[in-house]
Amino acid sequence: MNRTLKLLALSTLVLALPTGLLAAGGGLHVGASPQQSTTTLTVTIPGVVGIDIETDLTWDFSSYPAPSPTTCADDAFPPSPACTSINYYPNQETTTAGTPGAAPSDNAIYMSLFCNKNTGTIDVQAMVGAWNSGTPGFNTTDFQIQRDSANNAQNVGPATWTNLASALTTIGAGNLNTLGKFPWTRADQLFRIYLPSAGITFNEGTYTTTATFQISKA
Amino acid sequence: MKRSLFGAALLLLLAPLAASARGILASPVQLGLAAPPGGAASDVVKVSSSKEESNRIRALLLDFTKDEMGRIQVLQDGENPRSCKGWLTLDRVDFLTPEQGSVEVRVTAHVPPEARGSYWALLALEVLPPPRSEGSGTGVVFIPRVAIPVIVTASGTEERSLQVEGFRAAYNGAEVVAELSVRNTGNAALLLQGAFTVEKPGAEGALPEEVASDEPDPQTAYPGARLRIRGKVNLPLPVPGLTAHAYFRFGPEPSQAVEASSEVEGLPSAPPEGGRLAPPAPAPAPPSGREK
Repeated sequence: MNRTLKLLALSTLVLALPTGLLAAGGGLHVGASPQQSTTTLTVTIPGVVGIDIETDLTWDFSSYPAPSPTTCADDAFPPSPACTSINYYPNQETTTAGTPGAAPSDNAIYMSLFCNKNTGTIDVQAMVGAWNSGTPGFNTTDFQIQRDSANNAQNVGPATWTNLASALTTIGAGNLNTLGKFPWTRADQLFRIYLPSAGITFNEGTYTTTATFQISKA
Repeated sequence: MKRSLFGAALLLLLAPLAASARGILASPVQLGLAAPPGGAASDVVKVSSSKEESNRIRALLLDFTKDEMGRIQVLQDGENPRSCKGWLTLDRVDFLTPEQGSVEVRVTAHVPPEARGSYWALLALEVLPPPRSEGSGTGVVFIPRVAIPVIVTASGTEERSLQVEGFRAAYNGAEVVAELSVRNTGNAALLLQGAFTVEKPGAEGALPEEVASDEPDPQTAYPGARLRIRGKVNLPLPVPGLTAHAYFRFGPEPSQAVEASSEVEGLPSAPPEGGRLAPPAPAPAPPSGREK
């Protein structure tokens, strides 16, 4: 198709969008046999986006074992004085019973994204809020995420451990090409707390923060 | 009283409630409202749960802009000079989605008399977690959110204008990756719909022949902003001399279209033999000094 025809075709397409709503079908047909009558079958597909998170994560510091005073290991509390950085992985992951598909990996949340068109370009952003009250001694931005190598075929999320930001930041974009019947696609994210420095005061108590995952059509 | 680390270990708890699934679906993915200056317009966004469960939803209006890749950037109040957030009202801001079916959120825009062109704000729909019970600690509460741009246009005042700033197409071994850069130089948001094509030269005096094409999803160009539209044209049998073309339309008038063309970079220098790419020419042997 040459350029002029292509532009003409596109023009027709634009005009066809509103006038398509005027289509009518059926009607009475009278005359010699055989008679045919037609009906117009109209299918309307809306643009839809969606997001689903099915896992809750727990960091219960009372369940972490105490390390040897001279070793520095992840998931050890209280940390050895020698530690300059340490990671705490969630020690309890609870995913809703009956959730479809494979269970999330250890330390990961089940996240699934939807776009009506499996070639639709979507934008996924994440942020972490403030502590609900007080502070455990470290910041909410010490939570880190990394895209899981399993249950994340479209590689949504950072390839390496990345601190959650306090403002919405894009963590993944692209097409939701899926192998499934419907274009839901898994985008599981691994979580941990990364404490980079020594000298942290751990304030006893229970603390809450929110992690927002936002989807939009780019 | 000096507290021991052991005591702290018992009490420092970042723990959630029992697992509570949270999922949301919303439609449409973008809402356009048009009314004359001084008038009003409204439409609905349908919100439902992602599966058979009831969810509590909060609706927020925020300011935003989009970067040239179309990604949303939430702004602080007052940072968007073409914000319509203050013109918008929602008929519900805190509601439950049923286990089946959907809830409609009606968005109404009251367009001021002095408005000209398009203005925009973000409708954010987020699933609220269940209330935190006394004494239970919650580590990270996950909030799924859907963001829907709402674009309000003062009808009758639109100036539609689009300028091409660049076009590039390159072959990556399997497909031609095309990118068209445009800038909306008018005052109205434009919905761009079109295609990328790859063409080979026609025979003597004939028109070029299209060999493959790709139609990206329609994209919105915001006034004053640059937008990069990307497409991937599958090209299993590349030949030298191909050209790429971009055709995008933003209205029904003949003038409401842009096009651009470019040679495809990175194509093999020789045509394929028998449907296969010719192997690359061997590199010349380095002089050895022992040749007879």
